[in-house]
Amino acid sequence: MTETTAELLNSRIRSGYEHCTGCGVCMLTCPVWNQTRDIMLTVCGRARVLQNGGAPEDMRQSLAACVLCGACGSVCPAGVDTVALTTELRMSLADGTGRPEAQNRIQGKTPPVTTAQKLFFPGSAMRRDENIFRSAARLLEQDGYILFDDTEISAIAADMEAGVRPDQDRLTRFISSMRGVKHIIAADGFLHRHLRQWLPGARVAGLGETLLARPEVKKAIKSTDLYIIEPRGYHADHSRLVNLYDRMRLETGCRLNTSLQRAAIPTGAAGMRNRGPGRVDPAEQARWILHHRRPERVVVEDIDDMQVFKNIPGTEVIHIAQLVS
Amino acid sequence: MKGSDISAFAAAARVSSPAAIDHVAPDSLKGIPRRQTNPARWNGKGWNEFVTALRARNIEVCENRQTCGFYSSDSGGLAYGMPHGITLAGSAAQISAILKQAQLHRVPVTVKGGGLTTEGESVAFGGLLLDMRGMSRVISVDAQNMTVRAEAGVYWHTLAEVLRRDGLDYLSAPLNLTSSLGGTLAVGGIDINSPRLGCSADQAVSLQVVTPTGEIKECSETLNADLFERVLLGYGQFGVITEATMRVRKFTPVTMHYFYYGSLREAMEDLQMLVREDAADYCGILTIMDKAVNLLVAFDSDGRERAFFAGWRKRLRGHGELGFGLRMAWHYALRPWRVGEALYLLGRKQELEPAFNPAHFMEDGRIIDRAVVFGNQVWKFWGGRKMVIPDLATSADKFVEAIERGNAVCKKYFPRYTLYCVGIKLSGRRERYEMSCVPPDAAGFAYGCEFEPILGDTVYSREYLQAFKNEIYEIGVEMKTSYYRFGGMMKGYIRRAFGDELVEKHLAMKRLADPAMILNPDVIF
Repeated sequence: MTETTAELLNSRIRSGYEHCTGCGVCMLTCPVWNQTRDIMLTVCGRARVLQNGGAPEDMRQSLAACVLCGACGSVCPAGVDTVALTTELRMSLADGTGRPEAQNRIQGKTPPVTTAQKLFFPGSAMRRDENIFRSAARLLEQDGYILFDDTEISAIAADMEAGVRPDQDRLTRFISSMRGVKHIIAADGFLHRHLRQWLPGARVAGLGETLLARPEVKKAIKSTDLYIIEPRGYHADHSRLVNLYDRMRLETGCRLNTSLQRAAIPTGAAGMRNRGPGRVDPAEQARWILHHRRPERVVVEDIDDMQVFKNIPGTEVIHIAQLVS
Repeated sequence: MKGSDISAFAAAARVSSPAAIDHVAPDSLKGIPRRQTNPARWNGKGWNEFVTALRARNIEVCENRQTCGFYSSDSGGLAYGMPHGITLAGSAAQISAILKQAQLHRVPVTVKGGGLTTEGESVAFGGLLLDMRGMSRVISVDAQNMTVRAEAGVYWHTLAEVLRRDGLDYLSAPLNLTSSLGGTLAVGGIDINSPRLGCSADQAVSLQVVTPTGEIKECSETLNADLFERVLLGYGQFGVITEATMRVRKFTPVTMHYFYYGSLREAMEDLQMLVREDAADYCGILTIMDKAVNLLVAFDSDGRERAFFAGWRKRLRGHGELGFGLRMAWHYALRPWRVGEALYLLGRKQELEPAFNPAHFMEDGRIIDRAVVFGNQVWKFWGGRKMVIPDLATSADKFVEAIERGNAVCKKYFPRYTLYCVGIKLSGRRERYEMSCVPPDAAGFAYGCEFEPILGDTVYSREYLQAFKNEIYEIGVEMKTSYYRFGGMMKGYIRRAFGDELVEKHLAMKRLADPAMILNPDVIF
């Protein structure tokens, strides 16, 4: 890669891909690797292509395959921001070739300036399930969280995930409207890293983590349960959450969908919400999570994971928001 | 990136690409001639016919430049070569067809597992690169007979992940979890429990192998035993391992203890005592400086741990953390001009200690998945885009002298470096040990030591790094030891260390098994 090329790319992708040593530790947690065994479809392959002077066009298939679960980034010994790398490359690809996958996005309502300090972003997936949505909102209301109409930020997130660079004005309006917010609970884990970046003064947490802090919710988890952590939010704050969930496992005796690396094994279902089916089959991922395990019940944090596990015969599935309702 | 940016980027990327691929040139080391035993190189003849024949058999060969570029080096990052094409391994039948055609068209085939070689052993200098990771299923776990059958491209980590669901674990494997099963069996496989359990290759019960002429054979100590002995520790010369049945054991968390030494010699002597007397389940040496040497001792059970503290602890000359800290404080108080050294030691301790004992991998004072913790931290603290890790493998008698000489070489070339030493239990006199990392004069136990400079942000030329490696390897020649990194760029040392007679004997066997000399041609011969 020439100096000019490297400078150009580095100015956009501040992910540290140049530090990738090719150790392959990221692949141990990658669902795409797990299902394809094709290194060129993994973030390790993408980093190496860039190091060798390749361009986003050279990794079109690879970029499409990623479910952005972020497990790779949580274990990378070189500290490469793998999610930022893949997201930026997707957007670079879309910019350069006429916005392929991600047109016709819904524009949500421009949010009014909020005076609330604690907000709950249910996300587009959760809003589709009235019962779970209401249960979660009710529980969070008891802790002072206000349900927020997050259709606009959900639309921006969906665009970004699909490879469309967010409109700066739209984003600025959203950020301005959030000035006084101190706490955000976001059910969509993809949003966590971005909200932390956009709103550095706000504490961003996942739905599962927040509900688990309620004693009656934690008490309702049984030692015979298999608890499915929402992977995107978990990996976005891995060094903190890995200890939190480990303590929860020790206290309740339940099992987690974590690998030996303590990354959350994803079904990949959330990654398909905005991009359609890809190289990861969520059912196969779910079967691997359940391999040689016979839980009496599967407790999920992510609404997208519910249907995946429900499709596996003999599996009782419940959302964490339903545990005490 | 805006549209115009991306166009500029793509254009720049195109301009920066060389006009034609040279499959061998980047590996040349100016001023330091590679000591090739077989300097003749394949010149690309027959490639098109070979690929046509493979595609006619529905075998995919990827000739995409970016993909080939991905495979242009190994973990060492010093040897570069471009394969003409890549095939992802799919089955023994597919590999058989590839090797038959390779013999016919005389096209070299280089087999790659995890690619964690550092001397270019898994780099293809032209020809076909066969990525074994396409075959990485765990086929079956037999908890009754305590064995597992897996495809050879599987990572040890993946194997561990599957075995854990049954409460089982592999016996021993390299600390680097992205090593592949087949690649490890072909070179040995050393862990900190090798003093008790031997190398990974000695834990193989049976193998499925595709010979260089394309025959698919099952082999074990009782079936095709000659092939079994040739392929284990065979450096990929006598066949491609496609499946392996390995011994397994019950999974156990591990209790770790660290003892600190101010003398490398004392630490090595104590390590040898522990190995000889089977005092611990795991032991090894990791140095920070030669004044700060860490002897790691670990146990699978309370009983073994108690026995160690009752019988062996008092014989160790190492200190606990507090005692050693006080000694070092006194040492540096008398030598204030060495404050930089003291700060480095302190900084290293503060970095390494929490990294090797993370809370979420600990339970009741024991470490769960120690191989995961160690494997990741090894990459974090010692990994890089260039990995320079020459080593020496010695008999018990030569261990201390060889390592002290190697340590002096490290000191000459680098301000900071780490030595990693382990013992390896040998399982009698095996044919597989001949001309391998097991030294010819080793009996009962062998010892290995890796010499790893900490390169940090300093840029060293390849010539400098190679000169360092050469000097370590020369110790092996002079002392008639062996090497764990065996072949590739250092293959010239094999003939010098082992002598013409033994190398010619193995070369004759290789010619018989692989008439066109196409399988892994740049590794040993």
